[in-house]
Amino acid sequence: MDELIMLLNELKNSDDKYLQNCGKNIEECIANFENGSIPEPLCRSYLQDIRDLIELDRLRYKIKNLALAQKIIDYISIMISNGIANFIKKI
Amino acid sequence: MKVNSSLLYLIILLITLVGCTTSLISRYDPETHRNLAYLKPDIKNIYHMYTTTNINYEYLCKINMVFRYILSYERSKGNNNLPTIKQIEIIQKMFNRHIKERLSQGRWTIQYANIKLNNILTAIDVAIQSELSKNKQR
Repeated sequence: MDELIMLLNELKNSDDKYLQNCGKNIEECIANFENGSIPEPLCRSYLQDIRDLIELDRLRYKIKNLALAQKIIDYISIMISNGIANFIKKI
Repeated sequence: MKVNSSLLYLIILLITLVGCTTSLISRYDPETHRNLAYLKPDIKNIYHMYTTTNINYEYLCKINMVFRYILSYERSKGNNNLPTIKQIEIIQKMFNRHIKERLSQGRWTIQYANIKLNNILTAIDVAIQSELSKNKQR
């Protein structure tokens, strides 16, 4: 439980607003469950949704970074081929 | 000199081929963007339906078919599209979990349906944003 509280604090203090919201929502859900406002199945289902949303965000970052890396590879390939083409012209 | 030129052409050809095959991630696809965006109004209708006692099973089947179509379309793009495939699988699982929950627990309150709707729409939006962050076709 201590580890969960630590993780939630880390989430809430994250630079990412999306993750901050997820942290707040998890905390709210657990608090509502503790004071009896929502039954366990609803709390579980809500937490499963948040887990999926965090996983989706992780994949979004992955796609964004891979797209950036791909762009750099494309530019380097063009640069290399243009450089060699110029070299041939000089010959 | 002729031999040298041929060799250089061969090197260019090789670099071009390597450049073409080194694809870390699929490119932006307007079809994927459209498929995901078109899903949203149907999802909204279904979640509003969950607040009533009537469940239109035909409609649920139709949406499941749409998910299956989207997934098979994404899978056809190959391995460099795996993160997008994974995202759509997660959304489909979330949608199916919500159906199961609604069928086993009965009618949802408007407030609860709105929370669940917000979650699944956020999930679709994240997938759309991910698609938009991909590089456009050269």
